[in-house]
Amino acid sequence: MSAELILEARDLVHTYAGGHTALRGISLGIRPGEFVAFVGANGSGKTTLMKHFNGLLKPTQGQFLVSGRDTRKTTVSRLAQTIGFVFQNPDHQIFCYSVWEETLFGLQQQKLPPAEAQARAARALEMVGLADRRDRHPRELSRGQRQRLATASVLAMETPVLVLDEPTTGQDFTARRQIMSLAVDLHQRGRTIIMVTHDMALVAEYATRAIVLHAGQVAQDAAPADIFLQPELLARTGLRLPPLLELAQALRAEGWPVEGHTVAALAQSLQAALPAAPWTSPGAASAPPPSESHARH
Amino acid sequence: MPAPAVSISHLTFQYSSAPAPSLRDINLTLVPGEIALLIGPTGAGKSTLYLALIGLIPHLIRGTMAGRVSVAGMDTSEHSIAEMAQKVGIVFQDPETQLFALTVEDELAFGPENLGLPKDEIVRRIRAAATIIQLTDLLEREPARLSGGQQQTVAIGSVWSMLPEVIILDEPTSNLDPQSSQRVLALIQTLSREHGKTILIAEHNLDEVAGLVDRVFVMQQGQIVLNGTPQEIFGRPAQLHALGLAAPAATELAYALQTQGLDFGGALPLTLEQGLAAFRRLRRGTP
Repeated sequence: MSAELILEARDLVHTYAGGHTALRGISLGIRPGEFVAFVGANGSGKTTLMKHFNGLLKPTQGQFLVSGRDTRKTTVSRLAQTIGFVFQNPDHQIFCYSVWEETLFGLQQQKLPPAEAQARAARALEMVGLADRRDRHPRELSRGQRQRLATASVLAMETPVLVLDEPTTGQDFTARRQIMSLAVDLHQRGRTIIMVTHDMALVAEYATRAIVLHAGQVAQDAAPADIFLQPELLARTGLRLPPLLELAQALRAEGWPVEGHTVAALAQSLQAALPAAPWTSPGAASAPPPSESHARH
Repeated sequence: MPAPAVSISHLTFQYSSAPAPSLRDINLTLVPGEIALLIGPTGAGKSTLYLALIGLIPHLIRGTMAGRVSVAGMDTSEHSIAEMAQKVGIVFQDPETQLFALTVEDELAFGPENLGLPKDEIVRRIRAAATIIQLTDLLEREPARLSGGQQQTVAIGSVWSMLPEVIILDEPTSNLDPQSSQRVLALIQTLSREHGKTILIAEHNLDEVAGLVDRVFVMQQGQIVLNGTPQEIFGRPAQLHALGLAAPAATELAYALQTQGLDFGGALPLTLEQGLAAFRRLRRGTP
């Protein structure tokens, strides 16, 4: 069966040299084409697990397999052809003197023909909206732009699996939408997307599967909607519902028949439940009708 | 009317390497003890504004500055970076970039030691900072080995030990889980409400801060494009949408119903608690 899994952990334990055991027996498999979120509070083991994906860390017990290959027996450069990583702090990743060089770097390491490398780099910069900054020094970019540059240099590698570590940290509403619509687009083209996050709104909106880590173990592995219905699990694992769903849940607890995960859907169900409310005459509100493009979550 | 804690008038700044100004005719006043929220897309000029407030602009960073920046009555052009550091401190988004000492205690002592203060004053300040951040039992620990939330708290403590009047926090919760975020925001509230510090905070997590801040500034392309109370800014989501920004979740939900003609009695809810209360009133038929 494991041949069908693109990533697989088998009884994975990781104990750091200092003696701290960050992962305490993780077993899970991820199939090609999934959109998976790893969620958990600071210190839950998310980052340690993720570092096993590309062989930066090796299991101290158990196994981690990428496309069926044991990471202990596979070179990091080989793993890098399967898994692309966008790290939380772009400054740990960026080191070249221009946006263009940075985007080209990984491709040159793979000894791609220059024309192919340049086409991929240009495509990647276009996708993240930095095509007009290619000659700038990365230091001249804002943090959000540097994060997008780090994303571009990984996209350019065109790996089948993309891991996004806290993809929306430090990003505003617009940049968040951009980076996630990019992830959705890549997912639709068949890539496997894995995001590691504590932004539950992101999980609600995008992931089809959420794996909750807590104290180095898998506390739950289910569809996000199922996880959101388990308040004691969320409390125990230090997670919190996205604000909109928190409000929806509180309203539901008071007997409102609210349905859905988006502003538009929730508003519609509330509207139906409020026939006797103080509605003004239709069209009297000064504001324009709600725009779908601004519906949150 | 107390003297302003921060007063910026007609501030324009262009980096020497940049083709256009990063800040354009900024006017901003903060009264002592106020918590002000700064929002805007990445690249709007928030970071450049911090640099101007702590005096790195104009003293260290090359570029052309016009206008005037004054913090606690001190004009940044007339006082050194070291003098300004006793009036205004900054906590960066990623505490790892700020913490470097081998113990929490050394981290808290670093600023006061650099001021050349007497030893007993340094010790007093370490104790005061540790008490404020509630990490007295972690003074011997290595900051690098603390959790993200504790690191952020230590970074706030190291700024506190300088006893500044103004504290800038750049997205203090963006790397933190929900519990740690709430602790850090509660600490910020304490600094302002109990100790009278003036706070300028940049934060994307609007749902958490909407009920905490007194004033909101929205920046875009180097300018302050909106400035008002949370109700004036968040309570009118259309103006935020036009700028590519969103209001807090409760506000967005109420706004979607308001546009269908539902009457919220003039003010949209900003926080989850306010949202719940507004819907309870609707049920009772009292907007």
